[in-house]
Amino acid sequence: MRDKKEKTENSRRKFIQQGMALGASAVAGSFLLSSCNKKDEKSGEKVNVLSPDGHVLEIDKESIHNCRPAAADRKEARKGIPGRKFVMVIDLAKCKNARKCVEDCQDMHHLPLHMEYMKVYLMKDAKNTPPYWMPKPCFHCDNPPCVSLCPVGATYKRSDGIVLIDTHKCIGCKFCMTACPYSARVFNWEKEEQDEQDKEIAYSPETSIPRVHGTVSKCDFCPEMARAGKLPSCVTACPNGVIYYGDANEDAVSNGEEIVRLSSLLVDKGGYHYAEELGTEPSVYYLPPVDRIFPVDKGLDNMSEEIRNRYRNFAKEV
Amino acid sequence: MKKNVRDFYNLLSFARQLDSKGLFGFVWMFVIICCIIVGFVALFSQIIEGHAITGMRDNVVWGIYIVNFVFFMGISYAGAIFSGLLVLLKIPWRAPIIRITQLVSVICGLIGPLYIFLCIGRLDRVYFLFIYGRVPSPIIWDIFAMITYLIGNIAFLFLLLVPDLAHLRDTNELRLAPWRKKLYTFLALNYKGSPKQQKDLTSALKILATILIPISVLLTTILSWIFGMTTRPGWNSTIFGPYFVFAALYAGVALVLVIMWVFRKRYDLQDYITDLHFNYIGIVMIIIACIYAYFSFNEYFSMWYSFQKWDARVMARITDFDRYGWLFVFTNFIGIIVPILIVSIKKLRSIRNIGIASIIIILGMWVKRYISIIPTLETPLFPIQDSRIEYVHYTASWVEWVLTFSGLALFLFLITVITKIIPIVQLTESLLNKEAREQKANS
Amino acid sequence: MTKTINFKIHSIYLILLLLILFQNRSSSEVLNDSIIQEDTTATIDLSYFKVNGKSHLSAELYEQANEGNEPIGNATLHFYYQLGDSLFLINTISTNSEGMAICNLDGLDLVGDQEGFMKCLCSFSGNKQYSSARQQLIIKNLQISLSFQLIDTTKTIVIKGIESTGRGDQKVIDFTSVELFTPTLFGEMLIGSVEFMNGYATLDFPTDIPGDEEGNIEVIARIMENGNYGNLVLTSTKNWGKEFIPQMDMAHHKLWTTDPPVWMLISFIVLLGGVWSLYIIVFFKVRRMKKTGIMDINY
Repeated sequence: MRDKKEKTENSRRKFIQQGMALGASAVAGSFLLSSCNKKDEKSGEKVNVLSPDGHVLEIDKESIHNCRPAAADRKEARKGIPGRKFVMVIDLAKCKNARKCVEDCQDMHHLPLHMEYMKVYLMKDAKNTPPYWMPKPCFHCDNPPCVSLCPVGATYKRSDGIVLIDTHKCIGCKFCMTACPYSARVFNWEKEEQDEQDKEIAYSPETSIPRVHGTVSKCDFCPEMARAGKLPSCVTACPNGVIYYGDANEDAVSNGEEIVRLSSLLVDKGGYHYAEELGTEPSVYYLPPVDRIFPVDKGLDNMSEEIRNRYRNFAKEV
Repeated sequence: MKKNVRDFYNLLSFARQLDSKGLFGFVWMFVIICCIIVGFVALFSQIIEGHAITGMRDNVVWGIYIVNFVFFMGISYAGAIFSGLLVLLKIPWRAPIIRITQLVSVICGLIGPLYIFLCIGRLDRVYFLFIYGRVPSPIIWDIFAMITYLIGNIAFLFLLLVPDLAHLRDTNELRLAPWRKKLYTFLALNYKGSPKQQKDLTSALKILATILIPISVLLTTILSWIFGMTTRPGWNSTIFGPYFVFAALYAGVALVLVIMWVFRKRYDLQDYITDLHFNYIGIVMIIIACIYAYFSFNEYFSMWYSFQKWDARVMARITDFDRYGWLFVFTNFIGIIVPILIVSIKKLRSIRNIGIASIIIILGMWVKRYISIIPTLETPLFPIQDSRIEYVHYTASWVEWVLTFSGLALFLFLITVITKIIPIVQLTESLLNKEAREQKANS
Repeated sequence: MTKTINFKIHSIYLILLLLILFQNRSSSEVLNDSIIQEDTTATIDLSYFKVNGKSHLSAELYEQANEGNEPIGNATLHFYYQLGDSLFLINTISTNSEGMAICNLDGLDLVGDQEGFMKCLCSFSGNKQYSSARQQLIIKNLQISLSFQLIDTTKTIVIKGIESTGRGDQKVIDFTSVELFTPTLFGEMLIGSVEFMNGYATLDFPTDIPGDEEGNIEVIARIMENGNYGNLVLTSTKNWGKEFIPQMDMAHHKLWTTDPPVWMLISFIVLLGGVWSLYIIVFFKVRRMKKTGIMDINY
């Protein structure tokens, strides 16, 4: 009986969430409905969803489920979503190196095993301070050195604060990689790997797919998901709700479970920027690793030997 | 002026290489061309396999290609500054060395940029630099300034060559092939040496010499800015501009000395390139070495003294004897102190020793570029946590080494070929000097 | 008093209308409908939604499995309204692939019993695969209204809640909690949660929530999954937010923009232009030299 009730609640929640998602996407514009990467899979099945203003709408099922929303083309992707300023808050107290953010991000961006837009570092600030896990995406700085230095304007900052790379314009000089103090950028070294894959997909700087050999790519903050009112996969993948993502103009961020005021989150938990002294003004805030939920060692449990090896040298240094 | 045209009784004595044929020359050219061909093989495998074939990875994104680029461009700029100064200051002993300096400058200036092309991921999009170029990017400053500089530098070499070409056009002393005669006639630009022509030529040369010096200084500075404008520890330094200028001059003067030494031996130019020249340039070298050492000390001392977190990490890496410690000692102690000692102690100051010291300097300066570029890239703010050793430490791959050496081979090839066509010692001025000396002796 | 009479007459008309329009069956008949006996049991979840005054029933038909619920699509569901022993068919709707069917109650004035309870019923008559199922829902009609008031210069949201039986009786409500949200890009953010006292719930409105250019904020009041009232949603907009100025608070240091700083552009052009103009002078001098050379036959 209780079981049933739970299920009922789940389904109701699902229903309500769908309604909410649609309402948000209606605001975000016309990108939702024209959306599927795999066109032949479009089922034509219709789903009723409830919009917050009380209208019952019938939309294609594929628009809601299992499908990445359509992204803007190269020209449109330079503009940014009007009125938005995307930020991320990462709560270091909750991270236990589950690596779900890394894996889901790789999945979403069709990355090979070793290419990571989101990385998780084992950090230790000083001799007597505790070690902690630190997920690190691109910081999408408000004063981005990578963009200042780019000779051809292949990487650019948009009005919504997102720094993207147009890999069809990038000449691969790697200047931006030396300029980025946060090692956020990765280079497409291998040739075959990405030229064959993803060929049919129309390129968009917003999705960073398909990657182009000999160019630079990095975390893109998934603006095409935001256009559809969806959170980036690193946020939704995290089992501990570590990563919050949202619009600073709305003063609201979400970690997929709760939506909180950005300002009060930062004030209450003492948010800060990593290496603030560089003056890059990142869009990614960190919450200090106080009252950590998980012991640091737990982060390496069930990890492959390869992953453990990554932190071996660092453990020695510490 | 008519006298100059007639009095070519000893043209052969300082333009021997124009006429020389022999087994050694053939073997030399064969070896060089083989090196260049191997370089092409490496280049093709890089084009086919992609950049994965190099030792560069996500952290160390610039390897020895950029080291070579900075190295060659530095020498090129230094050569331009020297030759400009030699022309402007009317230094009396300039005649035998100015051509060598200019040639080194132009050839290095042509080889250096090749290394940027090797380092760029999408060679097919290089023209984007001109279509989409952004003014705030130091690379754009560098590209535009470099093109301007190269044109000016080649023009400078050429215009100073015009009287010599005119001589070669008019002389019958050398057994020159008809095509060479035609080439000289074409290149000599109807130069006959009339006062009017001399006036035009001199003023054109003066303009070029005057403009080339600041361009070269600015370009070396822009080169340093490619590193200095980032936020990276070890790069983001305010003295990087002048530091690079003097580092470039230091390597440049050493390369000029080596080439003088080699040509003097190979073509018996003892009468023209004398001890005096080696002494004078040696003294210039000591002065530059001192200024360069002063900058080096400044840079490292302030980094070490304040011991800021990131700087300290880079310093620790550079001075770590398991990593770059020996290279650090080589470039900053052996590469500076040994040449100073050789030139300043009279007993040691022989032409051969100065040549050896110059080779040490050249190697030291290459190493210097290596340890100012690679360790910084190996020390990002976030620690490198990677299980793959090639992502943690940079090691140049065979492709990179082969292309480095074939760049050197290309330098040697160009300098050999060009000196077969044009005289290595400035003819006109040397003749004038010689006449003046003889007249003095007679009277 | 007249209002109540009108209401009663109205209700009678409605019932008559329903009697004419829809097939009238007794509840026992509906129960006998379940003929086919199958192994798989279907289940219906029925819930009531009132969104901005418009009501509907939402039913979800699914099969209970160990791994979770399996939705039953393309099945016909009958929605009934029950008054006393009589059932009136409201509508017949097929479920979608998610097993959902939504029945609109707009325009139907449903009448409750003496305590204000209305009874709704949803039934699935079963097919070859699934057994029949039915679900009853008992709900009270609650009407809420949202107003924005300045109380002693404090910006306050006042929510009024009235329970109406449909027979004209009205009753203020107590203790029921209502949550207030404001929509954001990735869902609704909770502003606060308050309880009704004597039919009113009040909340001091936060002063620092960003609105649009005019400071407008959309406020959503929700009573969700309430045992008596079902799900109620009411939205309203007020200009009590911080005015949003649509520009990025980014950087005094504008090297990253598409336009370079003017001084830099000028220096770049002046330096390059200066050098190239000198080159042109050199070119003309050399050309003159070459030309005079032709005439210097003596040399």
